Amino acid sequence: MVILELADDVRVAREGDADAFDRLVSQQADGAYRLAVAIVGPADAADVVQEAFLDAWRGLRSLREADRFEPWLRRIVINRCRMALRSTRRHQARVRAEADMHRQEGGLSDDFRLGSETRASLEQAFEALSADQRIVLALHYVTDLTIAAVAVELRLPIGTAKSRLAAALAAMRRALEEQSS
Amino acid sequence: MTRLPGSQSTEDTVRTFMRGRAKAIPPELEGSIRRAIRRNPSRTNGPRSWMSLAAAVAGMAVAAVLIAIVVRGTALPPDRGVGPPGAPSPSLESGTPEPSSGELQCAPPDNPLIDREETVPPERDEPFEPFYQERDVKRLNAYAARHADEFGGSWIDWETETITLTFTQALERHRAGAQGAAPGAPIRILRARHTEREMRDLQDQIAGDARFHERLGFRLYSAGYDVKANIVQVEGAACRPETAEAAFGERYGEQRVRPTIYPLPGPEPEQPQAGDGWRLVAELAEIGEPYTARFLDGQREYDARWSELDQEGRPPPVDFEHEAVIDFGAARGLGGECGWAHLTRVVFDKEERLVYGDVSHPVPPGIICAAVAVPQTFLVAVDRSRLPERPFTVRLSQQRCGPCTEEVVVQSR
Repeated sequence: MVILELADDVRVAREGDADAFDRLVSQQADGAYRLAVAIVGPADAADVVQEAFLDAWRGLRSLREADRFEPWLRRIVINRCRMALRSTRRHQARVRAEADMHRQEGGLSDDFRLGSETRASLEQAFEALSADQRIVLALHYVTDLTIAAVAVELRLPIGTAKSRLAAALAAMRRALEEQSS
Repeated sequence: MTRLPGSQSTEDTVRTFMRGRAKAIPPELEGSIRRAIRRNPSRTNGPRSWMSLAAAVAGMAVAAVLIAIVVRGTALPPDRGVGPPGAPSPSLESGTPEPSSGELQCAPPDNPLIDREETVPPERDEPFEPFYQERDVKRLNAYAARHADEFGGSWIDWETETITLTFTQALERHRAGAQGAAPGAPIRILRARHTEREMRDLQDQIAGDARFHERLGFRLYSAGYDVKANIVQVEGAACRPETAEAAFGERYGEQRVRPTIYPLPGPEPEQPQAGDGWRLVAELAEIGEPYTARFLDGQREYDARWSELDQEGRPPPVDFEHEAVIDFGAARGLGGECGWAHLTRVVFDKEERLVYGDVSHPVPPGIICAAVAVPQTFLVAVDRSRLPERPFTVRLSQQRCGPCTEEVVVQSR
């Protein structure tokens, strides 16, 4: 039912109806933001998501299959995340900004039960991951796609998706071991 | 799998961490997106300047780096290069080439993001469990470090489910040595032509070879040791890619370096303002509908279209007694990667009863085009005496491609 409504809104929005696109924003913005913030962090996520929705608005006429809007938007978000991560200078600035934001946030969210030292170690390890590894982690653990689905979404051989996940997990594991030792 | 204090596995911990990172959307952002949509940037004049060229060049840089990112295996030692391991090499004894991954190509214009043949992702998946032990990896890394003068590299190979190590010689001795270092581990030993130390040194040499780059007019995007191919992969751009690739092979040895060099765009050409039988009355960046063509036969239609395109005031004057207007809804890629389109000419084919535009791109194909097409509208006044006899067709380009929005049949009055 939800899918049908979404597809209907996509069809109407495709004709330039901004109200219909608003409804798509309502339905999809949170998921898009969660994905983006997991990949690029809070300093860049808002820009990434806003630009992604603008891209989607501009390009909606080219989306033929209305019921594929969600994965289509996700691809746009991922593209925008890659752009945000590509500059070393921006990357370094973002790391600093994120550290500041985390300090300001103070408390932990409900589902975040890790100790602050563990979280800091993982953050540090995560910052060192490649964009590809981050994207696989986010799609698998945040968007809850299976590894097979991640491979399909990123158009990768499943072995490649698995190896990216394994490399990312190995890096995180090393960080945890160093922190606990 | 490694267990952590609190009996959480690494994967559980990472999952918790990732979900913690994925915070809910700030309340003000949704409103901000809505306002941005309402402002409708696709209907405002975008600047056409050297900024767009800069964006195009930056896009190419990203394109090259992204194209370079083709992970074929997980290198055990930290990869010092910008680009991760790439394609398998004929210099290794065995190994089946994997299909290329992460390719980024210009998408077809009518449906840029979605493969219609794309399969529906399976609903279920097996739990992720590595086939190897971290402690074995560490032991094998230590073994490799002790034989650095013969060690070519190592990676986790998910196709063969082995920890693969390469050496330049004495494979049997290293097979026994590695098995002794990590008993029971799934080990595969292959031959490499070059040691990792040699390749890392070469990688650093290439990255620091600024004078050579300058002489070639070469812009380096990445240089990294491809452990599986046992070669240094170089990605970059130059005005004459073939010459630059040959120069790299000559300088560093064709068996040691694999350059992939993309063409740099030349200066963005000027958009012609007029041609044989036509003149440009307006060029609107990021406005209109991509892949469309319209024929505006009179002032009223022209005014209405001008308003529809969110342009203020009166449109540029057109003498509709002697002229008509064609609206070519062209497209470019998003983010500047594909540069701005140029309408280079309008062709009047009386025999075929066809009028079409010739739209070109300053950036050559093969460079990443981002996913979404951005409209670029050319409003062109055409000389009525040059038009074919009615009914005739007005089309965006000579060849039809995709849906029929890109052409319109102009009927008799």
